[in-house]
Amino acid sequence: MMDSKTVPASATVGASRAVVDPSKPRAKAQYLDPATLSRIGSLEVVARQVVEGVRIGHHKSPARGVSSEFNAYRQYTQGDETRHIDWKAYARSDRYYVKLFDAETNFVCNLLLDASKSMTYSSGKISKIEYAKYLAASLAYLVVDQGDSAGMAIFDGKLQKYVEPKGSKRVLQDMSNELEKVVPQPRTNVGAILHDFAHRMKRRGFVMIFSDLFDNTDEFIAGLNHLRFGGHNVVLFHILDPYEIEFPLAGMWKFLGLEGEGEVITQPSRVRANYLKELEEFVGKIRKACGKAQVDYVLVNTAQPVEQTISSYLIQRTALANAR
Amino acid sequence: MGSLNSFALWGALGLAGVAVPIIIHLLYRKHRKETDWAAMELLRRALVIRSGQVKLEDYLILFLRCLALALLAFALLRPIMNAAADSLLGEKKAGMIIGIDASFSMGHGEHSRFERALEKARLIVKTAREGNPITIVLMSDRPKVLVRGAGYVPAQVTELLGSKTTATPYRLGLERNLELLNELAAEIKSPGKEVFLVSDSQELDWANLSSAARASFERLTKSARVYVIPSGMDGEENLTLERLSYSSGSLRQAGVARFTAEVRNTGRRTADAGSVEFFVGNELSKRLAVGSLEPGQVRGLSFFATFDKPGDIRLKAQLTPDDLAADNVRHAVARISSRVRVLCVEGASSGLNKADRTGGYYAVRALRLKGRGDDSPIRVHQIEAPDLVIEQLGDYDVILLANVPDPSAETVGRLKKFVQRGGGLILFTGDRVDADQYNDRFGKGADGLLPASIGKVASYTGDATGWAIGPVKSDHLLGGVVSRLPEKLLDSARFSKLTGVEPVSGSETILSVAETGAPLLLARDFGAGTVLLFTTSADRTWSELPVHPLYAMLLQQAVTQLTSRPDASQFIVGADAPLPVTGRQLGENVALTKPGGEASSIRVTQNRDEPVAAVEFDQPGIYQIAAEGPKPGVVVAANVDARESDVKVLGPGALETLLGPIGVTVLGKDGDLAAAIEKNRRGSEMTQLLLWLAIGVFLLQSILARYFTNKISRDDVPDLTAALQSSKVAAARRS
Repeated sequence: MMDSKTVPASATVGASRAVVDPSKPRAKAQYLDPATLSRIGSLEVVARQVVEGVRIGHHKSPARGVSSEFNAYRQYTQGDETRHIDWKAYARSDRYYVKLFDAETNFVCNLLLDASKSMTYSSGKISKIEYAKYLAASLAYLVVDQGDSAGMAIFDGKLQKYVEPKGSKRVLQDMSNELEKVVPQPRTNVGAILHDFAHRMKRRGFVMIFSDLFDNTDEFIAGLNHLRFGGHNVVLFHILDPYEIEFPLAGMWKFLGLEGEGEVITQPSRVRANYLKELEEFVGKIRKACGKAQVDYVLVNTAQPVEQTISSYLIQRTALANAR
Repeated sequence: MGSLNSFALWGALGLAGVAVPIIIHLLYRKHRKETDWAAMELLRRALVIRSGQVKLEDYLILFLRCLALALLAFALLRPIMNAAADSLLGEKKAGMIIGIDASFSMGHGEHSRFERALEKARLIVKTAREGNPITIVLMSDRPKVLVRGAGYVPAQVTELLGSKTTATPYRLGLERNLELLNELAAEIKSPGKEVFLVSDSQELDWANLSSAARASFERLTKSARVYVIPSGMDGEENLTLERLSYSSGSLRQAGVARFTAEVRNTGRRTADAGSVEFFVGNELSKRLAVGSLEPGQVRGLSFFATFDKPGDIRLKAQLTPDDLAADNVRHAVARISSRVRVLCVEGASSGLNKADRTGGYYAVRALRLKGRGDDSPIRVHQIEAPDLVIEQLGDYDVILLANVPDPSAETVGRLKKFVQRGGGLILFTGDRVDADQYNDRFGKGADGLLPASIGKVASYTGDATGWAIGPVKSDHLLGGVVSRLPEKLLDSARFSKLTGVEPVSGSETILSVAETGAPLLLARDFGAGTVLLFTTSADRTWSELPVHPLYAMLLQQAVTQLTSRPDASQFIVGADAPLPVTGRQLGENVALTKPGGEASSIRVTQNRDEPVAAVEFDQPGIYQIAAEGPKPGVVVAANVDARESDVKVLGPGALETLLGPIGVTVLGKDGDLAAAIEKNRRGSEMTQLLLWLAIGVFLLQSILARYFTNKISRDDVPDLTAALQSSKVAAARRS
């Protein structure tokens, strides 16, 4: 297994596109690699739906408020500020109309990181949990950098640590510190965590989940639906190792379960086809559930560079959001 | 069902071979790699569905691999099926061994038995298939393998069985050849082995099979089908000159000796034996008519030869030609010495009375012969025992010890060396001989010099004047001297005392006393020389022999025998012999000239401390090792073994009766020979079939293994990259 605190250059598909340069000394905020973030810094996270926000930002709110962007007119009622009365409209119609503007809000993004033992698997390049840490930290940076708030929950069988969402960059340091302290534990229960979060989040917000989802799929889907029912915008980063995706092992192997599932001795080449079918079924089931619940599903191969994963996801989201 | 190769060996190797894939399978399982794994649930589900099928496929492949190796091992066993209708399954193949009797009796007849045997052999090989292993042996005392397990090539074999191949001058030696045939049969790897013995089936060899021959036949029939095929013949009549030997007389310069040739009728009818011609050197000396001989009758014909000069004189006797030429000639060599020197050593002191005269006195007179004086061809020098130590023994040809007490160890050592180099030693016992000291000094048993261990002195206690000489049972020349004397004269030689002796191995008792059978005269060869031991005294104290006419005859003949050794120059063709080559050094080469004039070089080796040259007598005639300066030459004669001359044969019926019970088939009729062989031929080798099966199974497992692998590859392997892309697009579309 690799050092969980470093990411080798080989973790990237192309050396020139390295996510993290392992030769560099660890920065204070280890998971906020500037090289990575400089490539995606110009991109903005665009929420699929308008969320409520305390601070004014670039995100449209369903509530009309103070903004420079006109939305519509409505008849003046008692209590409306007189400065919002459109006097030109009064001149034309002899009625009092109030101009309505889209309120630009910020949003709260909660990043939920699965720190179970199964996430420690690595086929020799980078473990899933390491990859998830980089991914989560990078996204958190982007969120905070554009003026939104980001918080982070680290869980395995239960919630291990929660960093309250904040809009200051200080929160990034807090997250980084907590990520460094992660000690993976056996047995994931993502479904329960999602239910817990659905109750915990009072305002609608953004939820990003980073997990391999090797858990009870039905419970996870129920938790996902719970989150969506609360109006949260959810993105699921389904993180898998390339070996888990391709199952390329040859010869006789003894597989040792990372979460106490015992051991299996087999020739992978002889069961590969069936394994891949099972994997496809597993992924398909989750993807279908995500589709139903209008959750963004991103299958992440840890062989890809982190920035490529983020970029390709955000590019597509931005393009479709603009086209809307 | 049987196998050509060792079941134990190849079976074990086969098992080991079959075990290989299983061991690899087990090792492969044991030497697996380990990894942590997160997606255990997926893996388990994949296994639940697949494992049964995968196991089945694995075991099928494993089974096929083991089967291929097992078939290969089984093929290497070279199994054979003996069933008659097996040619569909296997390759009908016969390994053939043909033994052709090439003993000299096979030369009998105008259309000789050997020529007939070759014809039979040619008929037999025609039944072989090209490429089948074939072995051809010329059977005799010196069997010759013409071809050994080679693939049958008709032209080559026909040439081998052509007129250039001739009978040998040897006897058949059936036992030896049967042993060889067993060895050759074991060498041949073929499902059907056939051994053919083509022989004239002489009564001599076949009528009374030895237990060894019978056992060899039994072993042979276990591994092969054995056929005896009588060669056929012109008849069974034969006259043989079976002996030419020295009988008596002086083998010294100017001496006259008598030689005897014996002619035997070995046929079934009375025959006029014609005549025998005697040659001395290359000159015809005498021709004697043999006359008519009844079946089995032997007639001896003697002739006298006078020798003008010393040396090795070649003698030859030749019988009128008959159906078998090989046994009509005999050769002999007479070693003629110019003068014999005898040292007579006296152990007792001479008395005043005539009766007290010592043994030396009588011996000297017996050897010098009355009236010859200094001109006698035998010169005798008489000394007393103490003077023996200063004598140069090499100056004498024969040493006579008469009642010598206690010879020193050094003296005995010199005497041993003297005899070993070809000298003759004559010992008379007497009252002064100490048995223990003699045994101690001269040595006992095979390493000792004496023909017997000396025991206690026995005295005659009967009513007569002493023991008489008993009937002569030995064919020793000295025995012949005694046996030719009139019975009355012989009976007058009496012995009142004798030294008891115990003959050692290799010695010969020539004379013994009539009453008790106690040995009276013994002989033993020691190195190149001979020792004669009289168990009586040389003087008159123990017997009247010294004054009996027999005494002079015995001593004269003994000295002739010890110096000329006429028997030592006769050998049998086919018997190798080490010839003593006095004066030669170990490792030195000596030049040998064979009867046909072929010269060869032989290295001198050692045999019982004496230098010898091992000569191979492969043809009848005179063999000569040339003299080199002071080193004397050796000339000897070799003749065919007269026993082979009895050419009477067993008929096919008698052979069938004799050999049938031990599983040997006798094929007597020419017309049926090839058909009978083909009819009896069975046995198919399964090797080829099994090898093909092994290859087939191996290919099948390869195809199946590839198919199973391809099946896995062909299975719908999801494109996860595409899945990844499609998931993103879907997610984006929703947005």
